[in-house]
Amino acid sequence: MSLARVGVRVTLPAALSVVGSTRRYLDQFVLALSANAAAASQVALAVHELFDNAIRHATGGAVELVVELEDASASFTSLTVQTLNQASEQDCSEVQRILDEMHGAHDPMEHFDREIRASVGRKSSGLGLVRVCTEANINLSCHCEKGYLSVTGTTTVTLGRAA
Amino acid sequence: MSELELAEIQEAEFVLRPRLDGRCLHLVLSGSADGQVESILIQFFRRLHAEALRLGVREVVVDLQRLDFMNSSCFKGFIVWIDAASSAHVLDRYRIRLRSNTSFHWQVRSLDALRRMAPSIIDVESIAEAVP
Repeated sequence: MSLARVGVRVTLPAALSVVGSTRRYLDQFVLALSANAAAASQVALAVHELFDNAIRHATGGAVELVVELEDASASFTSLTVQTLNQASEQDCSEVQRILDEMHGAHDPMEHFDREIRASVGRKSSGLGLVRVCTEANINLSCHCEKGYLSVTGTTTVTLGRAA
Repeated sequence: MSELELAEIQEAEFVLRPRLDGRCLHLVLSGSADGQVESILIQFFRRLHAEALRLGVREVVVDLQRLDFMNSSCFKGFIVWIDAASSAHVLDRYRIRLRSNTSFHWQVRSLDALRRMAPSIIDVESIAEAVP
């Protein structure tokens, strides 16, 4: 199957009750297109954590979610997961700080272990973004503009034989 | 020996069943541990360590083979419990055995990260069972 460029773009209410069903749908969507269960699992984790974060910090009532696959070669496809929501300046700065720390870490796994230990003393876990990077192997970036925060995850996945 | 004072959690998409067998405490988790159950699950893990100490438990077996997802807040519930268990007095310390299903890819790295927190008390047993 040639993917060219396919994806899903939805605007959903900022409600935690819709996160699980959205994750399951997109897990199956990516599995059907890539025939790669590991890739589908990566997307499921990224969708859940990014969407969950966006909902908890959205200052508006909705979050936009994008999952896109685009052919990179006969065997590989690039995969993008993105959330967009209204956010406070403080939340934008906090996301940027977390990503800067991750990108500056010499050893991502050591950084993950440090963040796990640090989470014991925190009110919230603060582990969502680092899980997406470390467990799902997805590169994250963010962009803040005019009261909106977008967080974008990208990776390359191998297409399974059935795709 | 006293009876276990940890109630089962039964929600629409998540179930946690605790069972005491001698000095071994078994937990079987299934479904999806996400924002819908995180406050209940975090409270459960806070009580779990106190119960393990009260009952003189020597091992806690956590069966995650049918847990298809865990969000970061629920993951933190595990972290706080493991931190408490690994900080317990040596005479009160108990082992933790995590039974994972590698068909759920998230479990591979998440559970290994938990093991690295306290390698002297945690074992991870992996199977690859087809996801129903």
